[in-house]
Amino acid sequence: MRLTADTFRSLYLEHGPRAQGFFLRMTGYDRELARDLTQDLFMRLWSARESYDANRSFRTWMFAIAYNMLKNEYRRQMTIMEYVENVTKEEPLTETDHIEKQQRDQMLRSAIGNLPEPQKVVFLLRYEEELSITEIARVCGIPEGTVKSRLFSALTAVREYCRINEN
Amino acid sequence: MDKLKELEKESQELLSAIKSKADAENLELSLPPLDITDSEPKLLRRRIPSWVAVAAMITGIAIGFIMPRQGKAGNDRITAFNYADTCRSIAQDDVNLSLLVNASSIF
Repeated sequence: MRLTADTFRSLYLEHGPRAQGFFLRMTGYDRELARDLTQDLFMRLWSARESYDANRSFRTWMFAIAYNMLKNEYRRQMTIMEYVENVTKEEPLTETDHIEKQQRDQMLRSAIGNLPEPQKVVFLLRYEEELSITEIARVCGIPEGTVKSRLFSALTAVREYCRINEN
Repeated sequence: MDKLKELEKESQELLSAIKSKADAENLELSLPPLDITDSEPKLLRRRIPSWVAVAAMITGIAIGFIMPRQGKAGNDRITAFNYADTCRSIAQDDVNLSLLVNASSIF
């Protein structure tokens, strides 16, 4: 099936926010970068529409390209230190916000943000984007067993981080 | 039962908090504009039969031979100008006539 501009626009509206959210969390909440990457991602997907296999999930295809873009982005500009610093950068709380919820969200952001990049990717794809183990393996180009072990380590680390910081 | 599933079960509350945080963050985002169209820019290139190209070339050469030669007329004008200029120089006495004679004998 050939992707028409109209079909692609509706796919963009449906999946765009998820892709942007994924970029946002993967880049340590850099909103501008996440926006640029999202735009770039969908332009790439549009350019590569001939290679899109309608029998396969659009999400898997989208995240596979998104993941490759992120790897290039990391290689291009981010050191581990900048990455960790960005993760701890948070927006100021407003008076009307629910402080308790915000604090919890902040803790979760830090807990996920502190994960090593390979664990973080599989963690976000699994628990935020709700991709299956098989889909994640396809996106990241790793065996399913590796996905599972990374998820196990990541979830253990996040639980441990939250346990320490909640007390 | 594998360890991961067990851990996921134990972490249900934490995982749903993570999911709802992500969903809330996604809702706040504004998508960048996407400018796409179905039409592709196409190169304006037409195939011309080779006989047309050969015929055009022959016609061009023929026209080149038939047309009066602009180059000759131009040369004549330059020669006339040089002649007039030389006469003026002689009239103004600023040319060594012997040099002029020597030069014309060379060419």
